[in-house]
Amino acid sequence: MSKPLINPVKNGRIRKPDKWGSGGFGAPRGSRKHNGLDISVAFGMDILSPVNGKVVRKAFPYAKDLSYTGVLIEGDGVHLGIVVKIFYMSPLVSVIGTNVVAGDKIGTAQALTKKYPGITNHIHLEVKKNNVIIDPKTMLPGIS
Amino acid sequence: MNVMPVVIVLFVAFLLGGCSTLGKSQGYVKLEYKEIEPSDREYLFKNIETCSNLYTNNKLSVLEVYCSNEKDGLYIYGDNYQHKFDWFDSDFNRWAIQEGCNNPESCFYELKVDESGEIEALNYHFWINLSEGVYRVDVLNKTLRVIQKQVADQPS
Repeated sequence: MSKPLINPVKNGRIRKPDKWGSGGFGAPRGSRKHNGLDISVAFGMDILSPVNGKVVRKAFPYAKDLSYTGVLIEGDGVHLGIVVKIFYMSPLVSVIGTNVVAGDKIGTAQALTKKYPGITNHIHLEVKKNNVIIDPKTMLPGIS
Repeated sequence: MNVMPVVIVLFVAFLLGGCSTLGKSQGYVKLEYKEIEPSDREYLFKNIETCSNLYTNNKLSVLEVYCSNEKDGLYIYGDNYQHKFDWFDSDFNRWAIQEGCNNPESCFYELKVDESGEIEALNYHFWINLSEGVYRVDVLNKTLRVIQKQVADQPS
C-alpha cells in the first residue's frame, strides 16, 4: 500500500467553483470530466513534490501553447507505482532528471488568469496508480 | 396499369446503390489503439522497436514510431498497401507521443481508402493532457498535408 501524498501546495485547498468550473476530480469539463484535482495557489508560490521519486521531465499541458508547463514525476520507494503530472507550474531547471523527496520544492506556480480571465489560480494534479488514473484526493488526507 | 410502385422501387434502389458507392469512396474507417503483441511485430515489420504505438481495425493499421532515429514517422499498413510517412506536424506529433493520450480511447485515427486500397486521407482525433481536437490530413503523392486542424486548450 502506497504512503499518502504530500500536498504540493502548503496548506493548499481544492479549487472552489468559478466561471470555468470547479476543481474536484470528475467535475464537468464540457463533454469530458476532470481527470485531476485542482489546488488553489497564488502565482509564484512554491510547488512541492507530492511523492518520493524522479522528476522524469518537463511536461506540457497544451499542444500549441508551450508557455504553460509542468512536470512528470515517477514515484519510487513508498510511492512505487505512482506517476504524477502537475500542470501550471514552472519547474526548477535543477530538478529535471533528479530524484526528489516528497515535500521538496520543485518549482513555482504559474499565472492562469491571462489565458482564462476570472479563473481561480491553481495547479492541476493528476495521479496514476499502477497505470490507472485515480482521484488524487484519496491519497491526500485532510485536503478540502 | 399503375406504374408508380415500380418507379418508386427503382428510385429507392437507385438511391441505395448511389449511397452504397458513396459510402465506400467517402467513408472513413476508425482505427483504435491496441497494445502491440508479438504477432503484430511479425505482421508489421520485423525490426519493430518498443518505441511505437499501434492503431488498428485488424485490416488497416497506423504505427507511430518514435525511436529518435531515421525510422521515426507514421507507417500505414493495409492488405495491398504499406508506406512510411513523415510526421504531418512534427512538433505536434512529438508532443502527442511524449505526453500520451489521457486514456486508450481518447486518441484514434480515421482512414479514407480508395477502391484500389490507396490511402486518400486521414483524421487524427486526440484528447491529451488539457488539449483536445482533430487534425485532418490529405495524402498527396505519398506525403501528408494538413488541410485542417482544430485544437482546443481546455482549462483544467
